[in-house]
Amino acid sequence: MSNTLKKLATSALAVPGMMPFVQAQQPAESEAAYRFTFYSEDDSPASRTDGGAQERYQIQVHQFYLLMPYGSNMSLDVEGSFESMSGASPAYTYLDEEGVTRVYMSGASIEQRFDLYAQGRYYWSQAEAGIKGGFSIERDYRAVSTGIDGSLQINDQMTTLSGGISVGYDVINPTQDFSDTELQQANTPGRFAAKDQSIWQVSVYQGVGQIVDMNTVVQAGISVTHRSGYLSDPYREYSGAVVPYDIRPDNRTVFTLNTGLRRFMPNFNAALHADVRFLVDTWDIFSSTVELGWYQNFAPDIGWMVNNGVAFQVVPKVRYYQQTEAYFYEIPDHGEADPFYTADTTRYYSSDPRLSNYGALSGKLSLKTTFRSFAWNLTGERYVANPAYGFNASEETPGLPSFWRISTGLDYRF
Amino acid sequence: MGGPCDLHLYGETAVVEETVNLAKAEVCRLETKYSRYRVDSYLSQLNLQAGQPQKVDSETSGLLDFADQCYRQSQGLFDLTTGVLRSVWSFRDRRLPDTDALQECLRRVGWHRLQWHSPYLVLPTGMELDLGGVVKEFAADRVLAILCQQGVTGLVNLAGDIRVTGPQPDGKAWPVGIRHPRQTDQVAAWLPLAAGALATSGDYERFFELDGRRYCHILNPKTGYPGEQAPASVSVLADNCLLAGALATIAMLLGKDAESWLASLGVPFLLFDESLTVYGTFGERLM
Repeated sequence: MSNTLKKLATSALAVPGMMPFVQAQQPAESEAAYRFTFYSEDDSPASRTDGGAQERYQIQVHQFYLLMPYGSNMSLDVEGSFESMSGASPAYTYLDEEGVTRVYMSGASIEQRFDLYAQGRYYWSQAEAGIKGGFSIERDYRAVSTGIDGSLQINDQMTTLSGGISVGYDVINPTQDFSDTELQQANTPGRFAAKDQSIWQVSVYQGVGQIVDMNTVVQAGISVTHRSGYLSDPYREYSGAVVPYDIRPDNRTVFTLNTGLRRFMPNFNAALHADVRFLVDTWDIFSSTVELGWYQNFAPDIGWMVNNGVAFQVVPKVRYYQQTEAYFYEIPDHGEADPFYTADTTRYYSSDPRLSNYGALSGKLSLKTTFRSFAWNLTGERYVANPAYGFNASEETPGLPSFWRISTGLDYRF
Repeated sequence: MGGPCDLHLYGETAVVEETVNLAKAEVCRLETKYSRYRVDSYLSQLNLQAGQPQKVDSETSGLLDFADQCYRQSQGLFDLTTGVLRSVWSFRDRRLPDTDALQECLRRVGWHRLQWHSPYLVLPTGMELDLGGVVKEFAADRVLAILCQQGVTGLVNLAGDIRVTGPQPDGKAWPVGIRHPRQTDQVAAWLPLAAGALATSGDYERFFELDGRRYCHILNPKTGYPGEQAPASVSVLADNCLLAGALATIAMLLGKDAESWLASLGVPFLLFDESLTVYGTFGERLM
């Protein structure tokens, strides 16, 4: 069946009353997509780096996606990605004898990750439900997850209720520098402690979307995620420490609240997207995110472009993020004691910069070009994190990442 | 519905009678709701509120979504806003429209000028919607849905838009005749219709001839005139009348490109060009 005929036939069948019985709202077309992303962190500043490599992570990601309608009320989709990562990451942060905050970088490494997820969805006239499952494989990490979700349109389809639950199970098996277990325990106690440890995760969310008028949609959602297991970072280690250099509580519960506004501006043929997100967890981290995006549509009124469905969408976005530190975050003072940490493993501590007080700014610019059944996407993003951008942040956190991210991809509907 | 309508039904008498009543009621409901001649019709109310945002009901919303898709897939030829061109075309008086009046009228034509974000519509002041191009076909499909709900086997014919529930009870297809575009009281071809729908669009319903050219009522929204070298008639087979009717109408508007377009879609069709040469992929041709 030709693409034109398929679109017309699907649109005809979507008219209420066309079918003798109520029909499902499944996707009308198949969709295939490929996306490539290049992510590059800024090098660690030499003045604050103590040993190790300065070149931080570079990641290349290849993503594949396929969505297929199945029968009259189902769809199947498969998503896979392959990542290759190289570079160094902060192993720990400390105050030296002169009171200067320094970061020790791990040796550069090359890692690869592969993941695959599949989902089946069932559609009714005003509701849908899905089940999803997948796995992720790295040299030192295995993860499986599954989940169900659904949505229901009520109030003459002006209101959409959605919800879901997912479960995940991860197994950690850190790479070891020593083959002998005694040497492992003595020299890399963090990795030794994490051997064959696991993490369970359960997440529940509930959302609501409301059409306010012909140009305005508001939405809100809450979620609760509980993780239990070995949540410390086994690679944050300090040569000479006799116990792991990063010990975190073995469970964490995270609550989030998301709110969003979508406002179409007919006079500009554009839409404003505004999102605010709050997060609070049992590690005493509180974070807030504000994101603003302007979706500018442009369809030239030129004959061959109109006939071939050529249209453009430019999307500038800005995002601000800030968080407070975890209650066990601290920068060890190597001037006072070496090794700083004791054998008391009941006390939690971590110098992971991602658990510190900090803020982050990011700017993103996207261009989407559609041509017939194809859409080409190009996005560039700059992200900068800094304690000075956060609230109540007086300390320095030189291990925080700043990065560039560029992605491009092609979507095809058929 | 602008022409003779008939139902051919098989079933128990009581059920058939009830089905006929339900079908009549449904056709009357749609005719009343979308009539452009009744000021109290739902369509007239939409047109009267041109210039301001209004929320349309789900049925109308579905029809406008379909019309929007037809507009896109026909490169702007299928357009529900062409109804205002009636004011400058007089088929009864057999005269061409005044050029200035036509150009002025064309400023009020164009699906792209209105804002349609289902279920909200902003119709610019001075413009009108005319759902005549979809409602008759939709009514035939609605009647067919009622037949299915009633468990009745039958054929629906609403002024030439024909749809069947399936084969007749003895397993035979329904013999359906296609009208000759010039000798309109004669059948030009027979088609055994066992499933789906047949819709025909032609230049013989409302037209006049002037200086050797035939001008029919199917008007191109970009020029305000009928398509150049338009077929005399196009019949299309599809799953439902809404789709078959839209394809037939678009083919008429495409003019000389109609045959190649229909062939590219892969739909069964029968086309008489302006010289009455027959093209197509179905039907037992009698002439």
